[in-house]
Amino acid sequence: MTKQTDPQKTQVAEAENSELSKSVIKDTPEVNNEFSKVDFKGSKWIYFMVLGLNAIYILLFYWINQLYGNS
Amino acid sequence: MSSIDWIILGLVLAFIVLYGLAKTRNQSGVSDFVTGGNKASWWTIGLSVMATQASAITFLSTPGQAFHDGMGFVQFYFGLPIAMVLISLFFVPIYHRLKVFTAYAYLEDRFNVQTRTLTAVFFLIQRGLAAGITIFAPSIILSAVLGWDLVWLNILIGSLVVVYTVTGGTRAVNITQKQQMGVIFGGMFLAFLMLLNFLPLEVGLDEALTIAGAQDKMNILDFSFDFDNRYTFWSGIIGGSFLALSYFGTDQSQVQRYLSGRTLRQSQMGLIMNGMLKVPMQFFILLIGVLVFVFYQFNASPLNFNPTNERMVMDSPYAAQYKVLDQEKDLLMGQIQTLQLAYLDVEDPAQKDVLQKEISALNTQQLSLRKEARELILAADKDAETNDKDYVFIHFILTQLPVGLIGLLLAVILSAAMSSTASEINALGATTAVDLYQRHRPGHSEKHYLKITRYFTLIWGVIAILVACTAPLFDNLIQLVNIIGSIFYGNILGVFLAAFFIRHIKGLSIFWAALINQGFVISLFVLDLFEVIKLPYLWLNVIGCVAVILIALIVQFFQGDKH
Repeated sequence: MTKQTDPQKTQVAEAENSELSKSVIKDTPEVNNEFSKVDFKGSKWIYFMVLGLNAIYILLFYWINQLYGNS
Repeated sequence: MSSIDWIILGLVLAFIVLYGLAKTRNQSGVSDFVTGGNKASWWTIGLSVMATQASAITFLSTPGQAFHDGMGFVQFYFGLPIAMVLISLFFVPIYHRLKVFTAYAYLEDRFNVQTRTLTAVFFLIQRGLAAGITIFAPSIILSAVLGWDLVWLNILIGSLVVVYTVTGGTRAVNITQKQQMGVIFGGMFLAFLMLLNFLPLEVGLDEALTIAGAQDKMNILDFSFDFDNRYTFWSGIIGGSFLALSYFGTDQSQVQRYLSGRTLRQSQMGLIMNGMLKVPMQFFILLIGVLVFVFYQFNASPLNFNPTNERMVMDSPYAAQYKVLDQEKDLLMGQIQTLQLAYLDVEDPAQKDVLQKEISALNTQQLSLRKEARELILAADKDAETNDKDYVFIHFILTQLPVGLIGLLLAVILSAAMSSTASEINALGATTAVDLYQRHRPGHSEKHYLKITRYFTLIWGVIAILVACTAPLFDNLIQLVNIIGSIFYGNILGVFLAAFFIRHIKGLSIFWAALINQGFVISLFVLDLFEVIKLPYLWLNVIGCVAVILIALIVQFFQGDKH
């Protein structure tokens, strides 16, 4: 399974995993609900920065295109 | 190749492998082996993600792409940053919260064990073949150009990778990829500087771009909705986002890279780093290709960049005709050089325009000669691969770069081959061990599972080498692997999107939908194969993704709330 860490506790881990699976399946609606309220944890700027930076790249390409392009 | 080049190549590769081995000898368990003990920092993850995607063919093929078709290929990557943001926000938090070792383990938590096993098997089929091609693709080019034995080259690349991947697992892959990316960045930057240095004194970067632009190589952006044009702004933003979402979000060879993060934030930042650097990196590699084009406006180039083709046609009854074409080409080259220098000297726009048209006409004539040369090659051997795009940059490296730098640039290519192959073998071993063996044979010790994971990694390494060695037996195997990938990729992405975003689809529905859809996608492919319908294989990704969700919704409708 996916969460085993201790060879001495394999059976326990199996049981825990089984419980984990059940609980996760039970909690699935909660997991899905979280998509509507994404937790940016105070660093949403980094996501805007990566998109903004790429927008700048495209503007730069547009400028190079205008300068040297032939279309 | 000189002995200095051999020494540099050998030292770089030996250092990377030995460093990777020395730093990762002790593995305490499967967790340590598969996720690297969750010790990776964001920049290690970022470099690892980039190194996994950038295979040797990226560095051989991309400059050749720019040489022939210009900079437009960079648009293909415009969707990647969007995908990086979406994966960081939605995919990574779930994988981290559930502490999964593989992407497919999440599907058991969300759906059921059958869906997990099915998607893991789909991944193993397509990635197992792809790993062989990651080794084979650069080997076939290097063996053609350098005369090295293809089988031994496959075995060398594969064995070097297997040694540190089996021993050190994910941490060894991450550590070696840092060195490999260092070699790759350093080597490519030196190649760029050398190219500028090799141009005539009158030609700086500005003049080189002017020359390239006049020959349509600097048309970077295309905002048209032309479906015949493969690379446009829109296909890059929309199609590129889907492709990157599927590759980085659900392919274990990438998922395993960011699952090794120290914290959730480190994993997210690693992907964001990729989102920031990927587009300029590809732009830079394409720019090198454009500079190679400018270089060959002032220097002689062969009619076909693949030396095997040239040797073969010169040994055939078509040798005399080929020689005539070659002489005509040299004549044209001389005229192009003279006109290019005149173009740079002239100030008057009208005169510039006239010269530009003359140069374009000569370049078009040269292209016609190359086309005729390809026809002669095909007449000499109907099975010959006449497309020499992949051979342009390696030809420049071997014929123009000074001693020492040739060895370094070959180390760049082999490092790139090793970095992608290592991630693939690492992911194949982990998926087989965790999703198939460990899941269906529980109750053994951690030591046993670690040993098994290593065995599976070794077995996949051997399979990859065998696929690479038998690849020449099949026609157009690279395309075949892309087709097989397209057959499975859309289906897998659809399953993940349903898992993340459509809460009322349950396990049984998605499992049957994935099975039915796989049959449906294969049927579409077969219908296209027998020309009953016309459907380019890349569309199978989109159809597979949408269809599995629709089928699951229909099955779920008839199932009601049962799951």
